[in-house]
Amino acid sequence: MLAMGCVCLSAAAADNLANVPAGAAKFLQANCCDCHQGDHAEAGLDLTEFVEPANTSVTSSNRDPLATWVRCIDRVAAGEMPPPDAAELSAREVNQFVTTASTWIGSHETALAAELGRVQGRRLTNLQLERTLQDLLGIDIPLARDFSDEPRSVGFNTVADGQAMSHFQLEQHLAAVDRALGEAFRRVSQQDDESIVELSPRRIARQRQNSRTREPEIRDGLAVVWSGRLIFYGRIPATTADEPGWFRFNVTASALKPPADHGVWCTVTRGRCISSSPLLVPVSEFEATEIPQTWTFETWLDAEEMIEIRPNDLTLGQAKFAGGQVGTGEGEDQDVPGVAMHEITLQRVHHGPTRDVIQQILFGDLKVNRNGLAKLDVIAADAKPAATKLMTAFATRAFRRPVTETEIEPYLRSVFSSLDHDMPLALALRDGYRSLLLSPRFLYFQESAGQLDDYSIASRLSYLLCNSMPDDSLLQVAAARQLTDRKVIAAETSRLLASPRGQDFVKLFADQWLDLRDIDFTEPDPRQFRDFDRIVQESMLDETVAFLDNMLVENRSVTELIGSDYTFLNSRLARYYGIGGVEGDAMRLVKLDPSSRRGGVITQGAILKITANGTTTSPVLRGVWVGERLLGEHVPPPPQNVPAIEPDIRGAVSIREMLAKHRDHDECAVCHVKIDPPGFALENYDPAGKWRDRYGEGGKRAKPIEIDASYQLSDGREFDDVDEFRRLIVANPQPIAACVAEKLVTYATGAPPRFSDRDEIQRIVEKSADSDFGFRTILQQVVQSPVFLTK
Amino acid sequence: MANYLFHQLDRRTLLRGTGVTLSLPWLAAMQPAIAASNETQSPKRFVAMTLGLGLVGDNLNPIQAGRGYQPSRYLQPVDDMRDHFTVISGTSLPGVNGGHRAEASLLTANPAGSSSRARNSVSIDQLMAKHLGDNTRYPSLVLSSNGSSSPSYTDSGAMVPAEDSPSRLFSRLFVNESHADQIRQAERVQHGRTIMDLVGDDAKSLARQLGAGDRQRLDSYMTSVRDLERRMAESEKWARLPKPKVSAPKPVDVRNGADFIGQQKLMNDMIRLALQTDSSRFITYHLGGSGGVVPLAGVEQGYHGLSHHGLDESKLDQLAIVEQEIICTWAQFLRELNEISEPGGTLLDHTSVLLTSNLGNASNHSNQNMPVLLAGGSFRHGQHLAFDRNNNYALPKLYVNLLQEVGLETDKFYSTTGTMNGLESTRA
Repeated sequence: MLAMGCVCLSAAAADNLANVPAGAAKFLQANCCDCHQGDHAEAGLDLTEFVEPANTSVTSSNRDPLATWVRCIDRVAAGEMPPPDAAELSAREVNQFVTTASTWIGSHETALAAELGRVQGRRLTNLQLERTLQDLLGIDIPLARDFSDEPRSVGFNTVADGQAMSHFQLEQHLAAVDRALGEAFRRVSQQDDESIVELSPRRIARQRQNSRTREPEIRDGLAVVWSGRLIFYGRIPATTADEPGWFRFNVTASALKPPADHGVWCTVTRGRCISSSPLLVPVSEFEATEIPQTWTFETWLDAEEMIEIRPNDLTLGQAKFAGGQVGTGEGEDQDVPGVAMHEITLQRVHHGPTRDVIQQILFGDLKVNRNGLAKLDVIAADAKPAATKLMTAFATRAFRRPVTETEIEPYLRSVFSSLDHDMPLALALRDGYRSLLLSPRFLYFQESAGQLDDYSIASRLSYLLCNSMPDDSLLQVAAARQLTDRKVIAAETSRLLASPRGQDFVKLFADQWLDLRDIDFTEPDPRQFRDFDRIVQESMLDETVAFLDNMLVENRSVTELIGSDYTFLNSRLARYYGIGGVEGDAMRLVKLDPSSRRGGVITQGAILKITANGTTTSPVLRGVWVGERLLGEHVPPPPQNVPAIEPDIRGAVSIREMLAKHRDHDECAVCHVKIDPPGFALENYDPAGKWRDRYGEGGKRAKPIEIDASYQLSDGREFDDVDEFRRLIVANPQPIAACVAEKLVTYATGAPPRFSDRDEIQRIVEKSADSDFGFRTILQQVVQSPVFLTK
Repeated sequence: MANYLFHQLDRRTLLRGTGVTLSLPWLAAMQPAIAASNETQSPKRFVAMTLGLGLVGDNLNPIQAGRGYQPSRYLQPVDDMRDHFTVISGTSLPGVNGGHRAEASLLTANPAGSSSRARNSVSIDQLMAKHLGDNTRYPSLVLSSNGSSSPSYTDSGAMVPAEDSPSRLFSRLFVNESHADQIRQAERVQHGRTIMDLVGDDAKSLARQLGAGDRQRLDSYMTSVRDLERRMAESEKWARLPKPKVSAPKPVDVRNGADFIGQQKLMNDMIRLALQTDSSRFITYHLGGSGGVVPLAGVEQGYHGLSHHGLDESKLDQLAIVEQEIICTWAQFLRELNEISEPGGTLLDHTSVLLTSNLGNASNHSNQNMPVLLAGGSFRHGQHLAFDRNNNYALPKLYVNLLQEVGLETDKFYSTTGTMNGLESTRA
């Protein structure tokens, strides 16, 4: 069905695109068609299909005519086409073609948008479904982890074009709805249990001191785990959850035999900690010091899961234990660091509202009979009017806008039919809510072509900043028809960003924009990168998120993505980077000395790791990444009829020489002059994010080769190293600001900006110039721009 | 049970329930205690095993074409199975490029994956499952070594998420839910079917309110609603039948994500059990490329890194160790199927097993000259079908053979018509 839909759209587009303006057609015929013609057209681009649409059906070609036109205009405008040796053109000729073609493409897009809108049929993402169900019902259980992965189109899973819908997705959604409703009903039927358990060292440690286990041992009255590699060592069975839920832990601990210059970094992990169920989920990290401290963290535990706490810094000495178990005292003489636990308290907690609020959501003011989940029922003098009121209120929140009588009627009819067949009111309502949550009005954004109405704006804003449904306050503003006022949008944006629900906006945006969610995709080869471990990786993620968060809160310039004189570090990451004077396990702002070779997101470990494959670096991969994510370069895939080139690295000495061969081919070089510079500038950072001066250092076989990070930008300006590269790029902030604006538009609206939206992106950039292209200003300008406020 | 559980079944549903004769799973034919099935022949099955990182062509494909070929480096250790498989070289998917992105085209033959704008179409395994899948508890199984990515696509062009845990798969196949769970399941399914009617209508009314573009998206939602409704009806039927019992214990998943071969062996065992018990007849197993170092003697670098060998001798040597082991594990799977006899031959005689990859050369991401090994089924095996390496033959022709093999009368798949030259069936 969908495939057909796309064909229809392209066909419509093709019809409109058949009327090429005479001037543009003449230009193509005179200057381009010599090479781009027929079966053997250069780059497989047969332009006769475009200038003589009557002869050849455009749809017969594999190309999207619109995208092809945009690419033609861009390449002619950039002076890349026609190639200088093929034709000499005056600036006037080029200008005329670009203007004529741009105006024509722009009006075509405008016509299409007026009828269909730029974004069509966007649905909630997995995370948005989870959070909406949680907010709607007042529950806190995880739901998204049971959905299958979602595809990311142009980088984001919010993009409607890439979102999948099939019976698989629908079936998983139904299952999630059932779990959510089940939890809400369970909560109403039971007292909230928020009991606190205090565990003394005796309870934290193994119960029989003379048995060999992987649990902590008692030493001087404290529960101790030594540094060692044994899996599940540090498991604490007393923390096992009988029932799934959220738990708040307070852990008081100190370091044993710490190294001279730092504390003992430990990890907190959850899992069943047995071989038949070996999965372990990271919870937290901390640095124990000789002076005891208390750390607080919250985690979800599935039934039968417990937590494990252990020293887990690969730079520490490791004790060895025989037979996969640890006997009390066996670690003592091995003289390795350890962690000593003084006390753990664990409290079952709930996120979100109390039981009474959930009851209000489900049953309003009706009296509830609570005899356990099976006998839960509500009492209403007249069931049908009560059901009508509750269903309407629920639908209004679930659909994020008022519902008409016609819209709710079929759902009510189904509930009435259940009541007529003597189904208890509570169960009939549960089935009714279940139906509403399967409705396309719940799953999809309801946006009508043209200017968005207040409720559609409220949803876009709330799903952008909070990844969940609008809160009551935002819905009230929408009901008062105030959201078309840009000042109100600005105020609501600030309010939501400051609210608890908006706290992870930056993290979730960067998760996709900067691929932070893919940091686990490869594991740096442990033999090559000996001190890279989970604590380092988590610290890297924390660094980038804290940096971006600060950029938003302080409205720092987006040029700091490329270069800055500060970053955020804890003691472990500072030690990893070789930066002195940073103590403690909390992320803190650290001023950077130029000699540190750090500053800017591109020099942060998380990004350097994500853009490498765990074993080696490639200037091409890093170059494409920096170009697309930060500099706004649109790097097209290699042309269809250009064969893949197989670099023969036997004769080459370095990556640089390999790529030089690669660049000898003109058709490759056209793009690689743009792709390669950032990649070469970053060659001094290894796949695990450390600075290196030579390749292959520390390795046994290869002779280390000096790294040469010099190169030239596509405009010919040369740089010697990453410092000069950063200075050159930062001097020109507009492309970076435009890139950030484009990413925000794509993420926020569900479709990338079109060719004809480029002017609007430029306006956003100009309006942010006064704030030195501040991140927060750009965000505010995006949500107030017509691109955001129109379908 | 209270009557309110049943009242909402509409006329259509009731007709469907009474008018159709429920066919028992084929397994029943082997168990005299259960009434005889109307299927007398052993069913035809299809297993697709897809590699994310290709196989080095020079090590895989024999030099000689035809029957008397000298086994290649990779095929030498599995030469005992020579009469049970065919090596096919010089084929690819017409119009498909894009390196790894061609993974989406592998079983659909649709170049969708190569160009980011188009949608995909149905994959051969899902096409088979759609038409023939209703005879088993699971119309198809889509599995992977790691993660939910798969080369299987539904009619609507959406990827079917893969199951990557052998132990979870085992539970789905062989562990019965408790009686209370079964009743709860039945209730859920019945109400679910009425919901599908309700929201399907709502989607139509919503489509009238929104623009033409949204309407097309809502179409895929409505298709999903109809498909889910139909599947719910099927699952109601299966919910009443106990799952088959097997003597094998529930497996423990391989913990080391880089242990490509360990994962392959364990999942192969599950596939064999699923086929043997007739839990499903159409199985796709995606063996994506892991980044880690495969724990085999002589391998020191990550598998993905090795596949980009750039003709480096040391990398090629290590890669060959990994790929050799993949081939040997595949052959062992064939041997095991061949040891299971059933009416009319062995399980292998009734199961076509395709091993292929979208990458002909992982080092330069080429999608030409794909590695293809076809085993089992009623094909006349034992030969090397060598097509033109410079001007590739259309691989989808083989897919037409495979569709015909399982009993679908068709001479076309996606844009390709006709069967593969030189590949014959032993059936009359």
